[in-house]
Amino acid sequence: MAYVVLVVLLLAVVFVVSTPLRSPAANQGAEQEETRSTARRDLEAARDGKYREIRDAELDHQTGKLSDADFAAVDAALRAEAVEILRRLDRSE
Amino acid sequence: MGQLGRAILLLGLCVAVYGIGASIYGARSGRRDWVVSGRRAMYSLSGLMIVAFALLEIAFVRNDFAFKVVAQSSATTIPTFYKMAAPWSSQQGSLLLWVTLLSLWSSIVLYITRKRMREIAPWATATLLGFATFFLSLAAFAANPFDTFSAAQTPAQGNGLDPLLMHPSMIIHPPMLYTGYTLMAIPFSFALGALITGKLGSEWIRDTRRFALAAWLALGIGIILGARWSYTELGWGGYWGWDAVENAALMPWLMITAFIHSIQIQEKRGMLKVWNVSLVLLSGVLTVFGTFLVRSGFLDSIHAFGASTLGIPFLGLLALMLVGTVSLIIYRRPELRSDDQIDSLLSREAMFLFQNLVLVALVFVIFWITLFPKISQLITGTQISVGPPAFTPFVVPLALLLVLLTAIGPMISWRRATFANLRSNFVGPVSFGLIVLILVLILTDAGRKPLAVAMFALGAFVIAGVVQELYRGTAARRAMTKDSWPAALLALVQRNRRRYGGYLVHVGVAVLLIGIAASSSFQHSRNIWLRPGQSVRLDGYVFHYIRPTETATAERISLGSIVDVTQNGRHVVTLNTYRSMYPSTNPSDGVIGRFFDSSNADSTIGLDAGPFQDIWSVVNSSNLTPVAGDINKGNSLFANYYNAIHNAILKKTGHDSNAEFNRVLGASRFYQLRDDAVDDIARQYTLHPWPVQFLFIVDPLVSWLWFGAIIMAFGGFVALWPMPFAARRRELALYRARVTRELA
Repeated sequence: MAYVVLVVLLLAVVFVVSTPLRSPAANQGAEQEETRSTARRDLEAARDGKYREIRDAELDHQTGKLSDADFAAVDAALRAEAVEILRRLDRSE
Repeated sequence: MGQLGRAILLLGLCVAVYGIGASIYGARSGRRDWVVSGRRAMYSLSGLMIVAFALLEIAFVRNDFAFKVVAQSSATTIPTFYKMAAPWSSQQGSLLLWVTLLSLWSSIVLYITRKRMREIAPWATATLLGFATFFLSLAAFAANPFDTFSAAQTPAQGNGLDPLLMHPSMIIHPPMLYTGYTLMAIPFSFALGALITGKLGSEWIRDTRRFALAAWLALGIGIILGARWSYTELGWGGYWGWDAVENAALMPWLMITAFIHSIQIQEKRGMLKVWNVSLVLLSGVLTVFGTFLVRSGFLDSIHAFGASTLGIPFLGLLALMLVGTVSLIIYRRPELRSDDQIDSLLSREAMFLFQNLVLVALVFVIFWITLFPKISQLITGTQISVGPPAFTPFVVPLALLLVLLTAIGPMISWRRATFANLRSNFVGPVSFGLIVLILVLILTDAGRKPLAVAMFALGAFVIAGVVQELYRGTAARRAMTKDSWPAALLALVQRNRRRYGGYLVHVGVAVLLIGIAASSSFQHSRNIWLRPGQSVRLDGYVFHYIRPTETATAERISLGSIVDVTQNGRHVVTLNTYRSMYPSTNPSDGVIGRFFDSSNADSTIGLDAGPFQDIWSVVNSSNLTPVAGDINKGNSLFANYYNAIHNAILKKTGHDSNAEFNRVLGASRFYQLRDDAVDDIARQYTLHPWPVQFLFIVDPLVSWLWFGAIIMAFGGFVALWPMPFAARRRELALYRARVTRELA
């Protein structure tokens, strides 16, 4: 019984691990379709981070931790940075 | 089953080594098929380890004493509940649990990130599989949980489980701690991958923060469950003893706390990149260091596995991790340069940095004092013992500073705080802190402990600050949406889970530290011998020993006491505390004596926990001296009885027949008579007014510690829980629309 279980486990492992190697072209094609480039992902992460910063600055302003003048300066700077990221994202398309 | 288990471990080892090779080859050659195959090796490994761990669990539940580990740490008399937790009480079983959890969490994380961080992930996979290979090698070749006895050597009964481990916390505490430790390997591996590939931008930070938070949460819950176990099971009335193994878990937790905060500076300002990557890598190194302390026998601890030969491999791994990470950081220094600099010391960035420095200083202090006995031994040849008093002068001021920064951090703005901003945000919370300070000084006698009073005031400052933040945020949201107060509050937290989850954690920290300050500064305790009918006074309460109690079952004999507590003549609570002795398996203890083995015992406390104070009691020692004569007499009588039956069978059959011997023992009512004798001796305890040693404690605000920990865990979950996809899309769309107007 133990040998049967071991053989089944061994076959299952070999099947799971070797599947991508048995059809590398199809696998790579599917991967390419469903994922975007690392650089683009990095830019998207930077964009999301920048949006969060803008939102945090808004919240800080609403809760009295940023004066109107400070908020205007910070918000403008953050939006300029976000615009730059969006431009780079557009260029990467 | 043992053979199958051993074979699975070897198969797992092969799969892990293959996965390392496939991931590295895939990363270097750009072949995605090999990268995917390497990732699938991790999935396969987790499947194999789950099967292996299930086999071990089955062996424990079925009392299969052919397994050495089962014979060593279980017995037929142990409740099934605890048998299932017994695997991780041994070195072998806990190593297997380590690999199982590591492979399981790694598989989940690698699955989640399979479409992201494509250059970093293969290196992270190889690193995680490297850890798995290390622990699997130990499990397969040094401490194999599937080692078995031959049929002839298999014992009929196991040695049993350490009574101190038969506690509900032990079901969940070690797996939670190991979950924290193994999750800690994940940010370490992704940071290493980012360093190897030089992809040190925003992406790895975004995902690693979440994994770090999960590790922080799991390790924190594990630590607090350990503290609860200590408080209710170890019989000394404390929850933290600055034990080497406790400290080993606390250090990476503090380090990852620093990382979770300082990573925000990198996200927002592109600063502290070297610092952040160093923190996350040090957290990983400290995790392995903690595992080394638990498993090597390097330092004495109630939580450690004792002396073993595993220390050298762990030192090798630690050296490799340290040299590798330091070399990579030096190599990548140009890419790790900051994009920006701190504008002002009155800014949130500066507060985060100060807070980081305090946390790292705490880790340094704890590390140094924990290792001091060994360092002193290396230098002077004599091991100097240090206890909790060595930590207090350093830890208390640092903890106060930490709470102060915890209060200031959320209320101060990024980049630069103005005087108007400081006045607007700090007047209310600081006033509340001062009011609490004055009230405590006027209404109580706490002024004799100024550091504790300072902690109360700073804790109040933190809580008031968070309440103010919630109030202002909710009010601002109401102004926009016209929602009701509860709806606006809920929406505010839902839309900013990370921020407000973090604030909740701050409240939890404040509540927890107030509890620690009060309970460690204003505790009253009394260690005393009492006879039934006698009383003792402690902090305004009278503890009256009413009567002794006795319970005998197949699993244990419990000798206890009923204690009545009154205050000013008014009944407060009746406490029941007892000490349970578990049968030893040592034949030299005797047929009767093995049931009265006071070294194989644990205490159950009598506790009245309340919001303002705990009344805690324990029977520290049940006096067995008066029945020692009866026990010896019983041992002698039953040994003669036993030998007589044995000799009669030998004479009758001419050989040693175990089956016949057991049949005759059963038929002659040997076991029944033995159990009756044990019951009679145990009952003597209730029939005579023998003195018993008690420890009584009246301890204020202990419950605040547990309540604070619950708030922290809840806050951690809120921060960790992802925003629903639809809400995130709406959020992104909102800001995209606003920002893209600038593009026009």
